[in-house]
Amino acid sequence: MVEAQSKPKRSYVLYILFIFLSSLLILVDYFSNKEISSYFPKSLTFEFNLNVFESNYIDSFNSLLTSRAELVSENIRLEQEVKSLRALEIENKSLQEKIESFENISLIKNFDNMNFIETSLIIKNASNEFLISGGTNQNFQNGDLVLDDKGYVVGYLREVFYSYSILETFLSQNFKIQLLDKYNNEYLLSSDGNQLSLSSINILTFNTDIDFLFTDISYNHSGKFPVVDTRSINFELVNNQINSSFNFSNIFTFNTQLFIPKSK
Amino acid sequence: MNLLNSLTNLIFFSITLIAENFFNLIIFNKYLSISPFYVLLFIFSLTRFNNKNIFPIMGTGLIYDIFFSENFLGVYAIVFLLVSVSINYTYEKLVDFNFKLVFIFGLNYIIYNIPNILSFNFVTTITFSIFVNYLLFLLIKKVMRLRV
Repeated sequence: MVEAQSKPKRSYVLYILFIFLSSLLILVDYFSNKEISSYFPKSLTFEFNLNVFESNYIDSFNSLLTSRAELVSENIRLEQEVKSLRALEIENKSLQEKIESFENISLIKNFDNMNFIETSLIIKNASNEFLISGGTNQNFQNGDLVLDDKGYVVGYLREVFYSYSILETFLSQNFKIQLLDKYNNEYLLSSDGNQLSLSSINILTFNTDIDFLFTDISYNHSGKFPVVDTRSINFELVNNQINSSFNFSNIFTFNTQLFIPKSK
Repeated sequence: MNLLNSLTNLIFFSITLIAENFFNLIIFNKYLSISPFYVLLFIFSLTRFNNKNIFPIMGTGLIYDIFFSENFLGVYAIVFLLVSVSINYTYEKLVDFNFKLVFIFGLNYIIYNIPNILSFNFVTTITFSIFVNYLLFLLIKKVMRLRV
């Protein structure tokens, strides 16, 4: 009876010892400036190289069969070519549509100096941050902007590892970004996880026709990309200060295509 | 054999935790969080509370800290171990009453979400999520015929 009662107690003791051990790990990680916790994510790669054997297959097929079979294989090859051309045509159309929609709201007139690297969401962690594909292997850096398929900024990279990165979005309570309007007034946009708060930092000239608040290279952003459409929110100048709270308007979903703009 | 058992549990726990994060990405709702890993931890802590579970639970926490969060190494390991001890302790020591299991489930779900306690939506999210996850627990309990 005594043994049966003391067993859970001993279990608790060991659990508590391991809790202390974990606390020690936190201390070590803290004093090593996160060197330990970021060692594996920075060195491990999750990329897989798949061998494509399509062309070899067709070549070996040709060498084995007679002229009739050659015709059949040629027919198959042509059919595949037509299929791939059709697929390319569809892809081309969708890309053109995307470029058009992007150009409609974009504040950048020349895309020749920009590369848009496509990325995708992997998972969402408990702190409402997202893991996205691509990291230092694609030259991503901390603070890089992330755009949705309409060209709006959805967040920025908070931490970059070798093959994945942590994306900070409006949904995260740590989200903070500095913005400009077309009159060069400066703003700070922050989130509490539920609502966005906009506050002015420096107002030079205030007009109601601002339309967009956008990112700027003066804050080490890669260019002028829209973040907030001010036509859909209410704010006014009081004592030369603007303070406003509003809900997220452009929420993305798990299958939204995301892009990271990089200057060439 | 013990090591193999612990390793299997570690893999099982880690897969469940990754699945939890993936589900939450698909659901994409700021007021609801599906937590199959918490339900698993709850079941293990009630029915199989053992020293052998320390390694898989702590290991899962460390994997989560390393790969899926920005926290310092060990934060989620502490949370998972603490939740496990708390579930078992409260279940053993608390006097019986009608909603004892729901109470323990809810209380420990709050502990499970301690790293996000400063979140604005915490109360709404927790309330809604406790309800949904408890239903998930009841479903698993029925399917696995658990005597809890």
